[in-house]
Amino acid sequence: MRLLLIDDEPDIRAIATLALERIGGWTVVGAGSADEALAAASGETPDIVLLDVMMPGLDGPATLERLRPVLGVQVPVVFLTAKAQPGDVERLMALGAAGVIAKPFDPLRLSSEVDAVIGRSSR
Amino acid sequence: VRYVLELDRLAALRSLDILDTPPEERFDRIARLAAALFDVPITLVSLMAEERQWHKACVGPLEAETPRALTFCQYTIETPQPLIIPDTHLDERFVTHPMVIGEPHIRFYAGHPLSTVDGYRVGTLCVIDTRPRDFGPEQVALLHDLSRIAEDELNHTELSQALAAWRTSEQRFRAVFQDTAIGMTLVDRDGLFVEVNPAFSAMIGISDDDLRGLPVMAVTHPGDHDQARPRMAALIAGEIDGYRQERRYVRPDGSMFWGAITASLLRDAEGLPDLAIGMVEDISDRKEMERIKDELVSVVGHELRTPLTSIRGSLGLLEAGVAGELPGEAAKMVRIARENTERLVRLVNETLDLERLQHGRVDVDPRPVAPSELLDATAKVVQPFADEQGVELTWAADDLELLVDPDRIVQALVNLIANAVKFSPAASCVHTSIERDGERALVSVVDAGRGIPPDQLEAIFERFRQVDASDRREKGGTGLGLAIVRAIVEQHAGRIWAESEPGKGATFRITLPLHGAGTTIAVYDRRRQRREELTRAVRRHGRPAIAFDSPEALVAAGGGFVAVLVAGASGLDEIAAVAPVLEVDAAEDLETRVDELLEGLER
Repeated sequence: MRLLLIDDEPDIRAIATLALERIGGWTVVGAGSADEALAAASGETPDIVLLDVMMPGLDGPATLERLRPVLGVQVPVVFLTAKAQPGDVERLMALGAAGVIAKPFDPLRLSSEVDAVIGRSSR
Repeated sequence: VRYVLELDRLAALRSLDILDTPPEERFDRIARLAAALFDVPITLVSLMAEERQWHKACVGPLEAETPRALTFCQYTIETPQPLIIPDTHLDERFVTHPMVIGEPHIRFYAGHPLSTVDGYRVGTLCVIDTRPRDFGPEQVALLHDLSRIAEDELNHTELSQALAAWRTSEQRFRAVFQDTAIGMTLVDRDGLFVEVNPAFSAMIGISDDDLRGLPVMAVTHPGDHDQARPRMAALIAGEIDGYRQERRYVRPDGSMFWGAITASLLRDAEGLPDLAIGMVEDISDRKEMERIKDELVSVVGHELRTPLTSIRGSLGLLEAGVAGELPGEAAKMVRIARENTERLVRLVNETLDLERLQHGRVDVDPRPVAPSELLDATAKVVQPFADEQGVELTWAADDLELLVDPDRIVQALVNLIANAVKFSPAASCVHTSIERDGERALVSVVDAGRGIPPDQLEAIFERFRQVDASDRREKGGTGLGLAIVRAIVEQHAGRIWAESEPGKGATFRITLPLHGAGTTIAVYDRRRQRREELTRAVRRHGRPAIAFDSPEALVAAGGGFVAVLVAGASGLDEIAAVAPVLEVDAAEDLETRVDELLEGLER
């Protein structure tokens, strides 16, 4: 299963990638910006997208707008955000997200959080 | 005693500063009047110095002074009564007196003592004749009246001395006014500068001449007019005796500075407000330091968070063996690094929390809450930790309703209980209760730990203060927990304190507002900022407040409120059905006005 991870912080990408691959068994493709994400998504379509909200240049919601035509409507997109108050979550869900995961996340539990959001049973 | 009295009398005489002064018409005329009135050849207005009698005014052929021992008047000043000697030849005290047998051949003497305002008899008014005289009660009365007039003149002399002393004192204070580094201003009832000192002129960059007559508002930052104006008005109306305020001033070049003004009221002789006196200190440096400190704490805090998150994440993965099993010693080192990173994360989070709480940047949103709701939420967080430490948690609550922000109070309770558990021996118990205490709720957390020394009972609520410095390492605390609890409690207009007998455990107590206890004020305004200002003002006054953004929400909340404070005017009829309405005019000084309204309510 391919997972596209979009976050401008390379360290966070590295940590999340390790956790998702070793614990969750995902094949992770990393992207540091909207452009990188578009390039990655137009190659082989991912099964799920993890998208950071706060990024320089195009932020998470703007990136999603560009990405959606490439992905199609079926691929679930999960936002990662440091602002996870009820109002913020509502706003992000209204953009068509499948779920929201609060930052900072615990890498040991990240994979099961992703599973919970998309309703996949844990391995 | 007599000697001491004489010294005092001489001091009183000296303070009149009249000895050896030139003749003055005001005394001469009294002497002439006495001579005519009693038809005598000799009259004196005299002062009795240490060794001589000196004549301030004199009618008749006498020297300017007489040795004291040779005078009749030395006896006159001994008593408050006049001394009357109708015929010296018939008085054995005087029959051989040099002035009786020689010049000026005194046969008759009548003298009246002259007193200062303090009652010291410093001189005499006397009338003398060379033939015996009868001096009846009517004449004694006349002499008395005349001596009173002489006394008044003497004391006028004292008045002019007082005036001179006042002038000296005025000069001294003027020098202080001129030379002090603190800006000083006198402002009249119209809010115009009457007088400013050089320090204030220098701060503002306008000469004192140009400042006089200028409105205070002309040099006050427009953004601070709303807070400055009502205070000044209340002071000059005599409603308050003084105030302290921090406000910005603007210079003609457009630059500004922060001033701390301490103002007080100067009343006139009738006790009516006359002038406002202001002392202005330039606190721009302090303000700048505060700003830098706050910014530093905030920026450093947030900048630390990102790298700390990466470090903690990486270490967590390593420790869990996600990147492969670690050899024993490496695993131990990674565990130490991870645990200390956790502590650092907590420290950063709590520092930012405290900073935001102390600056009122955390929204406190009180609502009616049952104790069980608070205790259940708290237990969920602390129970695992208590189990781990082998400490039992017990709970008790009265049937009541608190008016608090549940999230914040749970945060406070978690801190207090975790703290109690940390210092409790295994198999002991930490008991938490919420009960009614008059018009407030009393929350108590009781432990059976080692207790707190009496001299530390207050200090423990300060940042980074623990009973034992080694606690921070051993117990893994940040030293900020209790400071955060205090900040939360204070935001609820509550009080926190600790009680302890060392060796027998400690009890932490908090008071919190009850809902509907005849104390809660509802606040309503459509505008969020105004609503928050009003709410803060009520809480600063020491009452619980609950804010509503619409009349409907207020009506839905039902009763239990003492009054509704409103600044916006719409929907008043609906609101008035809930509780009495207190209105605040938008142009008024909010805090003062809220204080007045609430005090009116309490009377």
